Amino acid sequence: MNIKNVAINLGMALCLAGWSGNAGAHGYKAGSIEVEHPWARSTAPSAPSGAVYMVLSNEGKDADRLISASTPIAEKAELHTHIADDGIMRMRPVSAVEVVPGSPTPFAPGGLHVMLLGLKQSLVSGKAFPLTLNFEKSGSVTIQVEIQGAGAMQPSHGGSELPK
Amino acid sequence: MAPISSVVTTRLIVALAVLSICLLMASAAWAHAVVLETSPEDGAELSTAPREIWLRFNEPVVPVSVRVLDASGTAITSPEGVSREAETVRVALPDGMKQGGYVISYRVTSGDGHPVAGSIVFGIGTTPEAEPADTAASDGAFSIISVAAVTMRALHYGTLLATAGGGLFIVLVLGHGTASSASLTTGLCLTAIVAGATSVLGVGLAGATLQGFSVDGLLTAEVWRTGLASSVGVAAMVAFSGLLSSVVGLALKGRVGNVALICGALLAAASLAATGHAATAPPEWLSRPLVFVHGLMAAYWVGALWPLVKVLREAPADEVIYAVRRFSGIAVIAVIVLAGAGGVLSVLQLGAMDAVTNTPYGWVWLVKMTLVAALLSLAALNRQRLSPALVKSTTRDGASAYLLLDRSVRTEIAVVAVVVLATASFGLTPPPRALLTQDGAGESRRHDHDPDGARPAGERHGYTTVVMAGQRMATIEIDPAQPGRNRFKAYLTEPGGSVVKPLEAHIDMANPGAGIEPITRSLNITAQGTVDGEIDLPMAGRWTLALDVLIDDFEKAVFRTELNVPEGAGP
Repeated sequence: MNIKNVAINLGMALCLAGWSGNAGAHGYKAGSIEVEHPWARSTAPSAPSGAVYMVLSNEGKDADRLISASTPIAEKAELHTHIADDGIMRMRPVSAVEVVPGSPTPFAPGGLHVMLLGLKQSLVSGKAFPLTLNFEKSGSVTIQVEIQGAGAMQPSHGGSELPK
Repeated sequence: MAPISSVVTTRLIVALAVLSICLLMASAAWAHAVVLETSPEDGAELSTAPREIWLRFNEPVVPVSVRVLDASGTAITSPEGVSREAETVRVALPDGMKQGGYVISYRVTSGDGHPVAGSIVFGIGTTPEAEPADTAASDGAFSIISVAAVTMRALHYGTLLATAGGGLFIVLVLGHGTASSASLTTGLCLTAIVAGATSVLGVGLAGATLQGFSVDGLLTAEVWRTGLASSVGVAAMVAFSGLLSSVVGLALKGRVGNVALICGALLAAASLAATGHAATAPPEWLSRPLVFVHGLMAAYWVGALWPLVKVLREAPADEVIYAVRRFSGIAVIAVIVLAGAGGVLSVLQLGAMDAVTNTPYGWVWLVKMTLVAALLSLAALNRQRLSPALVKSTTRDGASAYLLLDRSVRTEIAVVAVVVLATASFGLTPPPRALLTQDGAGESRRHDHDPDGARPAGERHGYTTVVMAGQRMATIEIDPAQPGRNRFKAYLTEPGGSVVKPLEAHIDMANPGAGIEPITRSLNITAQGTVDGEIDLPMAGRWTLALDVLIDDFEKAVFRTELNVPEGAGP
């Protein structure tokens, strides 16, 4: 193994350590459910809707499910997913999202998301807003959703964009 | 082998089988025996009702529980009807089976002691889907055992309230030790005996219902043990001690007697709060005390009626006036509290106004409220007109005020009897709040707005959920998510969003609450990588679904979810 590889491995290890160390700052818990890195893309001033992404994991033994969400900044928040129906991607509301132990549920662009309908204010990059998630067994938790640039595909890990 | 010893052997085998199942329950159900052939076949549509059903396995098995359930989830066969000859298990069917969907739910042990369980669905005169849910529900609700249970419960409530309230009447209105209260002793002892006997029988009936036995199951000890271990058993024990306290209170005079009578009434009310839909409506910290207060106030009112008639007819005029005034003074407060508690409980139970007209529970509630309104009018009439008239008439001879009040109170008794019967009938149907929030499915369905009108109307009643298995995601659609035939469709995606094209897929549907073992259906795999198929959910309740997908020869994924199938919600 040469020095370069060692350096890369070390760098990756440090990144991972930093990443997981930061998780606490973005993580929220409701009962046995952990909500990690909630984020949203910024929207144009007149945009009527937005989407929230995150990862839900279940640290408990029993399955639970997300049954609804709400936020003061939108008329309503719905659970949506994208499915490929006959080769065409369609967005579809779902009644619930299961959170089973051992299999984290990702909400990500192009897949599951919390759809915010009737935005009362536009989502401005660098700001955050509250979102309440209601789980069937674990109850409710209110999380702060960080808003990132319009082109973002994943959450920012630095946490520097949190409003000061 | 002599017949007797053969019976003993069979029992021994069953006992051993049960024991081994208990031991093996924790481990996976290894299917060492498999079903080779059944009559009727799974999914069959029969034109006439068969005399019996049978299941043939690949090896001799011991039946542990083989039951045939109708669309309402009521077992129509008894354990005695199950017979076995080597590898075939037969179950005799009752006469007069109605058109509709049925489920054979079986649990047997194979030769090596491993349990094997499953379900087979068939229909008579119809495809094996459930009857329209509302008729199915009422068919189930009016089976002999539930009619017996309602009658028993009504008789129990009535006599329990009469005993407890009679005691309160003695303590609060007449005064213990007076001649009038002494004349009530025999009557109240009689109601106490009936209340005690009905509470005991209620335990047996609860046990039989839980075990899925019919009325003749009351002869088995198992049924009584089950009943006693349920909340009905707890309630019966509380009621029993309350009745005992009341009877002791009747026998003793003075302060001790008063305390015993009041204790009796409190315990009687507590027994009502120990079980039932109303006492367990969330939040329980609110509903249980409310049921207790509702029961106590009802006891005061209902229990005073018969003593009032007795006093009106037998006591001297001044004593009658005194009793009526005292009763009436407390009754105003009691009725306000009674109605208040009942009102809050109704809100907790019904959830929404439309439940009153849409659900059987709501109809029963409506009947009760109509009768209660009549009862309140009678009570108001007594208080505003008849009682003052009674006070004005100086002698009781020839005074029509006595006759009128007597007639009015007797009418109240008759109406109360029907109110109690209606209250006992609540147990027949699940309260609407259970249908709404049993698993949050109803809750989320209420939020399930159509964002842009793009969704076909037919899908609005279905249920859609997203489940992970490892990093694969399944979006599962069940339409209409109601008893009967449902369309099942799942979209499977890999982490990157590409579709999964499985080699094979099937779904296992079980309803552990109703004792239904998994029903397995294989699914079609479409070119686009979705899996779909028709599934039959024979009855309402909480179903566990396991979508089992073979990804390739070495890997499979199981997506698990639960589905609440509401009862009586029309499409």
